Amino acid sequence: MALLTIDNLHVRFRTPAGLLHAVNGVNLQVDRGEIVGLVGESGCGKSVTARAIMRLLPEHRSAQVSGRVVWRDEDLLAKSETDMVRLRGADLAMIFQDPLSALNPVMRIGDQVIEGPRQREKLSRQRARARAIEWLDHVGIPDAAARVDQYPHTFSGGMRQRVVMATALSGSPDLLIADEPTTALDVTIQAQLLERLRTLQAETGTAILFITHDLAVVAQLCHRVAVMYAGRIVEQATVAELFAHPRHPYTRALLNSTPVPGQRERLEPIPGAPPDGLHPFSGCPFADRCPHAIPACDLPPPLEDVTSTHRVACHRHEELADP
Amino acid sequence: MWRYTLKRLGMAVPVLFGISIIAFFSVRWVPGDTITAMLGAQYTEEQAERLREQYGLDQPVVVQYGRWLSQILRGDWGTSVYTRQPVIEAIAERLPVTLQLVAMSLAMAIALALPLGVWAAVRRRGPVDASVTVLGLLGLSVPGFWLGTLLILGLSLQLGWFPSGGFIRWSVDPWANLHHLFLPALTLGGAVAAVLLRMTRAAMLDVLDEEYIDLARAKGLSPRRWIIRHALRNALIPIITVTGIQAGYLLGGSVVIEQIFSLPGIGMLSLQAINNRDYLLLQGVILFIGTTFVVINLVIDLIYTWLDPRITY
Repeated sequence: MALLTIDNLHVRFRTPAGLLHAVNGVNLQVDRGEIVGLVGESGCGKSVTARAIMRLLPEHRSAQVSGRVVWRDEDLLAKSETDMVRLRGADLAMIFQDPLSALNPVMRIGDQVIEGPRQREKLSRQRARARAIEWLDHVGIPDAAARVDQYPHTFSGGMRQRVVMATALSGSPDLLIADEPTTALDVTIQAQLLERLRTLQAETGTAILFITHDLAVVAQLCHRVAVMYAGRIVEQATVAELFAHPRHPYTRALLNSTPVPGQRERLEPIPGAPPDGLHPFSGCPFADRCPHAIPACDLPPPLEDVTSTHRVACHRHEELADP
Repeated sequence: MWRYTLKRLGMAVPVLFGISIIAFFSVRWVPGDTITAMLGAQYTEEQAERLREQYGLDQPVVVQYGRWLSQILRGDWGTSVYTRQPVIEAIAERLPVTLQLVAMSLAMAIALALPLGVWAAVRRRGPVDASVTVLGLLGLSVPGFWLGTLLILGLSLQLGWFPSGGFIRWSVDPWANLHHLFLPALTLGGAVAAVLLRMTRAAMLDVLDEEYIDLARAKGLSPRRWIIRHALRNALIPIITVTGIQAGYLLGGSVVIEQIFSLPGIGMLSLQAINNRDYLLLQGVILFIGTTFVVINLVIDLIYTWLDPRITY
């Protein structure tokens, strides 16, 4: 059963340079207990999609959000801020990219970890503190009981990201949106953190929407993956299918520009740059950079089923399929 | 922290020494002296000379300064030649008026600026934000003496809501005391409110862009909670700095306001001292205000450690 269904999500920003089209009709589904990767290069609209789900975009100022984000049976985009306050933390939680700026520098970490549940459950001070220690211990903070009263600046980046994780998980959400949580960390720390996240996910059954630009991380962690380009989903499949039989030329290019250990082949960068979002177009957004583009690519490619678990938005995906 | 406090107090010594030099010599740049001011229009040179000799004013200025300094260091601020009142007593007598005026101005400025600034920042580019920007600019550009005169003309002379001046002690009649100080405090606090308003808005805007605000919202915190506990709490550091500086300026600004509203405070005392060329009194007042400034700055630095755990001394 679908926990979250994103249906034709559009996000535009009013900017001095004009209307910026950041997300252009995203369709995506996350099931209960599933880990879905959302992959794409910087500026493709991944983070904006995440924030649109959480309703954290500056909607009263510059952001225009349309479409539907269905959480269980209700459209989140139709919710009031008061309703969202009730849902955030308890139903949907989110963690962010930069662990150095994601924690309030003037608040003890224990208070930050347990703040959400404390607001909802009216926990006593001691009870809250004990729960904070438990969660810090869960995410792998050594000597949690001693560190619970310390401030964020005494923690390393990797440890801070663990604290952020505890902050989001302490509310026992059904869905965790993780916006590039390991990007700012070095590789060994990243591996430890992913391992911890996977263990916690298995224990709690929380579904995860994991946003990253790193295909290696997707391969390590996710069940399914959606590839995003210029504000659209261009391909989605199970991780095994996508890595074995990529259909979309962009997905292939992305895989070709990722190093594979042991192989000495030259990496192929993708020529050109993605569209800037200020100049809307109707056709395939990748056509300008695609080696296989044909005149038909001026028309928008529909997202078609390849198999029951594999969909791709390319006019030529059948011809281009591996024999 | 005690070590830091002691160190800072030590550093204040050269500052206060500098202030004493400026206080001493600047009052002597003004044409005329204590004696001629005291004697009025009709006097003979001999009379004046005799008095100057009596008060040591015939000595070279450097000698006079040395005498004053050693007096001050022994805790003796001297006695006004003009009123025959000990300087420290004159200051102590006038201080409560000024302190209350400054405190009320600050309180009014904070009560107005903090909520408005926070509101403007949270609803950035909205109608409140636009009005706050205009209000802030207006408050900064309107001179205090003009605003004060206008308030007296409108609210006290025309409408009769407030007295146009004068002071009644709190111990005599608390209500009348507040009633008399309301307009002066409003006048004096207006410009400070404008500065604080702009500072609060700017500091809040900086903080609101931080990721921990997004995380706080993503946790499901109520707006009141994330705005106050996460955003304002972090914005407070620059706001407190500016408040401290403004508190110092309020002491100076009270000179004009006390004159307009005829309040017997330190400001009026210093104006009288200038008119009478009352050197000792004026030096004492300047040194006193300088010391207050230094102390306020120290207190603010100590507040930082309490506000921000990253700062340790």
